[in-house]
Amino acid sequence: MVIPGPRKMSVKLSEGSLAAIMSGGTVDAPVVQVLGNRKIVGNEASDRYRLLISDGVNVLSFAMLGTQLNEKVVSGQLSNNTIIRIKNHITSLVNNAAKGKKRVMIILDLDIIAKGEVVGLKIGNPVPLKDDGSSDNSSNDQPTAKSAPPKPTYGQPSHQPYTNGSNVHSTTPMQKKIQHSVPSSPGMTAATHPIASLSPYQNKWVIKARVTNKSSIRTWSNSKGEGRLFSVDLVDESGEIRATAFNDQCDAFYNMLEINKVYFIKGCRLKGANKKFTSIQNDYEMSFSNETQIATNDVQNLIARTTQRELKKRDITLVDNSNTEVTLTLWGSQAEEFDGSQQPVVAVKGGRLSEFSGGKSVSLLGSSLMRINPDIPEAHKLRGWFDNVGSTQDSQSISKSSGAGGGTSQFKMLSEIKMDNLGGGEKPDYFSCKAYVVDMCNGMYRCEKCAREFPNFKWRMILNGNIGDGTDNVWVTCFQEVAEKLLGVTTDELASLKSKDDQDEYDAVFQKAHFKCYNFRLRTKMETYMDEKRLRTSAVQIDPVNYVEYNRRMLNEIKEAMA
Amino acid sequence: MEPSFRINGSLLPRYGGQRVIVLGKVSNRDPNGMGFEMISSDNTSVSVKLGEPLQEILDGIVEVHGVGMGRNVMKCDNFLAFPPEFTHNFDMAAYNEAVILINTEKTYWRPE
Repeated sequence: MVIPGPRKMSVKLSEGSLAAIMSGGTVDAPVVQVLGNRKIVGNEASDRYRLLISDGVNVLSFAMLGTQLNEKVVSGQLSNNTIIRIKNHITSLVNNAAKGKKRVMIILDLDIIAKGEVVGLKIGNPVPLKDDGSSDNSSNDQPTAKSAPPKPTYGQPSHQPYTNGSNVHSTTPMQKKIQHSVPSSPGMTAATHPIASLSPYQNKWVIKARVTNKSSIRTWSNSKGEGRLFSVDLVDESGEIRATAFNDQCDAFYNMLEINKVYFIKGCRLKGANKKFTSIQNDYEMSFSNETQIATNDVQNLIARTTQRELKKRDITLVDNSNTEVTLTLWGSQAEEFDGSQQPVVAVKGGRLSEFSGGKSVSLLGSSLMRINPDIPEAHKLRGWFDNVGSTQDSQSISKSSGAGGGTSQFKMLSEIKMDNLGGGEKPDYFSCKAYVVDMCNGMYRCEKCAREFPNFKWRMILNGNIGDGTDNVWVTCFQEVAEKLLGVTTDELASLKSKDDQDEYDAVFQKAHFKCYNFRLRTKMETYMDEKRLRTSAVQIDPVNYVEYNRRMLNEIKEAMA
Repeated sequence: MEPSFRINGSLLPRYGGQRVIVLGKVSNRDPNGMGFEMISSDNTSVSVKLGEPLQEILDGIVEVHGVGMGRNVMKCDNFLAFPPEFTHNFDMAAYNEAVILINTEKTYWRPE
């Protein structure tokens, strides 16, 4: 059916696409006409719009608009007769008391092809889609062609039925504990859902989200019983949502979810958010259920800092019959092409073992060799071990960093630093300052390093100080941020004090910083200078002492010492 | 001045007639101002007898220095009242553990 569109452009509706979609088939970006919309007043959460759409053959009245698209209705862009291309959608089986399960389409993203007033008429003579379009009653999402005619596909043939995260892959040895619900090919990312589109009206979705915040485990106890919970804040391009895990899920996911990492998550319950307890911008929040599956396995895009080249990186977890896990980092096309869904055995030769704050991991280099499912006895032995034993056991990871970088690393007294190479102590004693300035000459400043002249420069601070605790004292070097925190002034403020030549005020800044207590995160390194070996210590991070925590730690140490 | 023992409510009977320090939260004030009740760090109630009537309204966490007078009673020589901004994150449970610790472990020093 061809109709005149704007600027003589003709638009063709994707005839038959709705029947295909509603019987579980796949249609790539169908073009349909909007014949009407109705507002569904939800509970406390926001309103939703239900669209009446036509593909020229059938009319579908069960098309919900993702709430993030509401604005398009409100602004009148989706007026009657408008022709749209549905760029992203999902279908979902909804329990309907009267008619049993009913398939509902949720539109997640669309383009407007022709405005309603330009089209001005209903195209064709579409008839309401019969229920047999959605006669698929199997509660499990996989569209089966049992009662419906052979699964219709339309448009671009798709090799994969639109499964939407419902695959029934068995758990992968290589990604154990993480039910491998998400196809690992990067193509999958196209099928994830924006957080903004989540609602209680759909039950099948996969989000790809970054954990921005994670609470500690809290316990509760009331008349109904007791339990524990933690929550995480998840963010993607479209929005944010809070997710809470209780009891079993709390145990299962607490260690797995890490701040700043990206996860595929599916199978959570959604409910209206209680705005009293959260500042998250979402009308809903979700709680993990026993159907929840989380997969970390993800290709990350990184930009190389030096070459501006885009790098693709993916971390996979390997386990062997020592029941030990290690992270293997794949790059480039290997990262994209690696298919972990079948839990293959991999053999790596010439990988590079690296260690970062206590965690060890293997990275593939250009010269490394990786073989998948090699036909060697060791591989078969490992396969057998995994299928029989390993897949059900918990394994120990050696790739976890030992808490450094974020949380509290090992606390040590200063005297202990001399014995090994890590440290964190207390109590600064006194400080002196060395300013480090770039060359200057008559209004222009010359940088020796780049051999160029600039009209201005930025002050950087290097602060040397002596810190001490009950056991010892040590000279440490503090850079910019740490030094600013320690002195309570910014580098620029300090620089202006210095240029004002007000030595008293300048000194007062340092005086004020004396004898305050902080927790220091230090890095020490043995350096050789003029044939003399000396420890060079710098402060990486300082935090005010949390006395409650500090006290608890000391109590524990005393108890351990007395045990 | 003889030393004071820092204890909690349930240790009071052991320190009858001795100088003690008990820390707790004021729960009830005597109408005539001659004493108050407090919940000690181990959640036992301690009745504090004062030598002279209270001149102020006592509230929140107080540290009472005085003499043990048997079960759940002590005579107050002086006390310290902490303003709320000092005590809003006071870890009473940890304090109590420390009190128990210093009262149970009598041999602090051990050979290696």
